[in-house]
Amino acid sequence: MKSVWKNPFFLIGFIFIAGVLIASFIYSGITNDHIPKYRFIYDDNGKIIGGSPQPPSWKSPFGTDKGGYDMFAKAIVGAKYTILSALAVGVVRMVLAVPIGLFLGVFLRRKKKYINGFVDSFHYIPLTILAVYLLRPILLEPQGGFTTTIFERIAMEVVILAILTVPIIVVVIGNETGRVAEQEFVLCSKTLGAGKLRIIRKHIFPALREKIFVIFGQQMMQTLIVFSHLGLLQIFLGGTHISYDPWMPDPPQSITYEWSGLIGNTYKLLQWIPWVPLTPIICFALTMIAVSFMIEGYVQATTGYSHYFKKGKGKKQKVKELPKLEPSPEEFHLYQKSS
Amino acid sequence: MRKVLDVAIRFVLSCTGIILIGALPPFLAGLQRKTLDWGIYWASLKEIVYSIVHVQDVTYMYLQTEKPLFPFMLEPVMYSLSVMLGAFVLACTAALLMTIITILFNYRVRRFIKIIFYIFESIPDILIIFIAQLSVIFIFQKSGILLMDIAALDKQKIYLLPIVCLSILPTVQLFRLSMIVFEEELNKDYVLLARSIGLKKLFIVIVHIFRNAVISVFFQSKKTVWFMLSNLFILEYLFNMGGVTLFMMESLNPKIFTITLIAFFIPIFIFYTVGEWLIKRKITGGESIS
Repeated sequence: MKSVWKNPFFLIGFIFIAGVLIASFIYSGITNDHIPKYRFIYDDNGKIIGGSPQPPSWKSPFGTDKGGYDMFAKAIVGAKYTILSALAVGVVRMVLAVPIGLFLGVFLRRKKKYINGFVDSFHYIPLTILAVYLLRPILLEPQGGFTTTIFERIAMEVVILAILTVPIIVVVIGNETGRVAEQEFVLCSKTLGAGKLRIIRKHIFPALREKIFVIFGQQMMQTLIVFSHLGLLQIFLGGTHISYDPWMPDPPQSITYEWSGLIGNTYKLLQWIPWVPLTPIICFALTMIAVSFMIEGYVQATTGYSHYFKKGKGKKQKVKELPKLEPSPEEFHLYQKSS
Repeated sequence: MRKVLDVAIRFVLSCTGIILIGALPPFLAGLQRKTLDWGIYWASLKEIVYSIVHVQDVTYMYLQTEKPLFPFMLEPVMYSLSVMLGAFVLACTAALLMTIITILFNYRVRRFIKIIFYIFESIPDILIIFIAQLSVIFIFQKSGILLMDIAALDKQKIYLLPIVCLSILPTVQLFRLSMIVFEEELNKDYVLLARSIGLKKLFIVIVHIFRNAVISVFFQSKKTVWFMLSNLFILEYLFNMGGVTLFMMESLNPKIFTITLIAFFIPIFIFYTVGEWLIKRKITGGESIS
């Protein structure tokens, strides 16, 4: 096993995500979430030569929106909420699912068929619609304002999104556990008198470690997809601010600048100012690619073969060369001279 | 007989799961006031079960008029199912064709193709839909030819672009899946034997490997179908299609939500059960496949 920190795939993904997160925190720390605004564009003589929205340029790499706010700054400020929430969802899912899955695989193998049948129903419910359906009562601002704080809402959203797919992960891990539990080394350990808990700790968990990391990464990517879908349906991370002004209602807004809020209802502007809806979507895409690079790198580093490119020839293992021994004529003796 | 019973138990369990989930939102709405009332959950459970038993009487509000749910629901369900089936068939065909073509190349080229698809797989579906819509508009602006409709108006039904959009990511997923299965088969002994008696690689891939590999791909495609369901939902929203998911969104009410889900679940369940049964009968002569 090579160190994951030496694998280029893992490093690229990790550096991207860590870099974006650090940039986001530093930016917020220095400017206190200030978003630069370029309402009008002036030429050298101070004459107005253009107004917002502006297409991408050197000054604002992702362009500006209708109000003249810089999209790049918005995306940077929003990155920390989105990425950390997705990470939290993944962690909560694994923390809940791994122990239950191990337990299921070891103790309840007889009942597995029924549990699988029950969990199968989750495969027919579109995850996005379920998330919308469950989160709407919590995240849409009711008339008269929220009664919950933003962190409570983010925590509730994370927990609900996490629980939604826990049953499916539990079954996957349970099946893998069952597969490992039938292997010979486990049977051997059992005949030597190992208890079930010891088998889980010493044999099954280590065998499943890579699998668990891969599932974790996939769950994080899936969460990002769900965030983007929820954004499109105007359910934003941490709550949707709705204006109940009867005369001039503002469009629903996100409370922070997180990416799903940036998608919001901008997709209708796709034909006219494509950079506004595309900015958050591309941010999502880049983060997801970074996560999948990390998965690939991790699997390559720990198992020596690739998760996605399975069954290749693989890299030739370097054989440690032994020091060459040249036989010299003096080493040979004739013990018996035949007559 | 035992098998029929098994399928029945699975069906009932899955339906129970859907009903248990369908009753959740009124219960979770209590989180706003930081209370969780099990009485509300129990009441909405009872209501859902009652409305499933008396499905003829369920009504929904459409433009301030009450309409009976039952005959009206079938049309959007059929529309969504046909789009999904179209996309699934297209994705399977495309993925298998690409796999067969890719597998004929040598290892180096194969690896290169796989890396490209690997990056492609982690692109969010919204981006693909956006790009598809933008490119159709771009072609229209440049050449005046409208390749396909990019959104539905009122009662109009569009098929081509949604099916193409919906099938892109599943194609990539199925391609990866079948690539793994095909390459595993390629290393088996019967392929070596077939090559040693002088059969061409293309012939072996199509006649021998394909038959064995397609079973595994079928069994593992359930995750892809799940993924497609979420995808379908966003697609219907962005293309303004009058499909089942939009219908669910318009009336976010536990009864209708659950009934629509079950109506959508039954065809997919039948598809997989029959498919599994046929494959088990035809190909292995009754032996079980794990």
